[in-house]
Amino acid sequence: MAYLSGKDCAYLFVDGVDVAVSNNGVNLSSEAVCPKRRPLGQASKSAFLTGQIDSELGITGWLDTNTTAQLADLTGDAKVASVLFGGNAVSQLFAGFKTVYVAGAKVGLADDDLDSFEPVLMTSDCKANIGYVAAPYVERAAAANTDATYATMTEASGATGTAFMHVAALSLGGSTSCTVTVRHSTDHVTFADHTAFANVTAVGGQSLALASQVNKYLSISWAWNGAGSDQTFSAFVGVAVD
Amino acid sequence: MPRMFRPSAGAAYPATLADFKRAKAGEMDKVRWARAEAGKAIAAPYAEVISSWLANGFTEVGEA
Repeated sequence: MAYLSGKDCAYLFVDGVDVAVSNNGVNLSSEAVCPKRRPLGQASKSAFLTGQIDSELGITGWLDTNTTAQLADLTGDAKVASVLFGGNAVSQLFAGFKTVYVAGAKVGLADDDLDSFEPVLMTSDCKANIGYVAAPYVERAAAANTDATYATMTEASGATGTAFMHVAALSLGGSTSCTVTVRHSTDHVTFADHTAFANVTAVGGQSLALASQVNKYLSISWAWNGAGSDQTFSAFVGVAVD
Repeated sequence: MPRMFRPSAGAAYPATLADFKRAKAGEMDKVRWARAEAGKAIAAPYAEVISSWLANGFTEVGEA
């Protein structure tokens, strides 16, 4: 059993809502046999925690009333979750969960100023996709963009993958939606489209199957559909190779 | 006669040889990108980019 832990967790997104800002702890346990591969540019092999592996995710703590409202919206249907335990920067490790359920109990006094919410995160299949941050969580505003951020991937050839995206804020500015595309490159010189997420119209999270070869370097692009102005969205995108 | 290539979907590449060298050096924030028009065959702006194009889904379609 491998146990991943760090001093801090940059973000914990559940369908685009960052719950890391107010919880007290995140527990991520993963059980995996780590194949040793040679990262690009390095002479020696190292263990890569990539692919879909048995994992458990939990959060602990008492959330304040501001977060209670957010979490109340999250309970019920299956959600997508991503834990940026390696940091909010390209090439840092993250864990993506395709199917997460949030439950919780509202406890404390009836007064809204004093009550709190004890959350429980449950993963339905106990599988996590461990991958790399391809686009850190920041606000993105360009009308249409080929972002040059990139992440080092494994040297596995013929690999497929899974991409995760969380949009925490979105201003369409008159446009009907935003299309976010995962892009990749063998050499971080020429980038090409890989697969696009479903069009974004609201805050939320998505997982996306990458059904063909995922090359070593990643970036994203986005384009606004329909006329608009001053559009912005704040999002994180990460990719795990299978 | 220049060699012509059909770009991969959404292809972007360093606009000039200087940008190509910056990309190879990992200085991505200094690179100016050119975006290929979908389906339209183009010639390489500099010879060094051809191998990168072919490795990233461009197909050679002959000479102009």
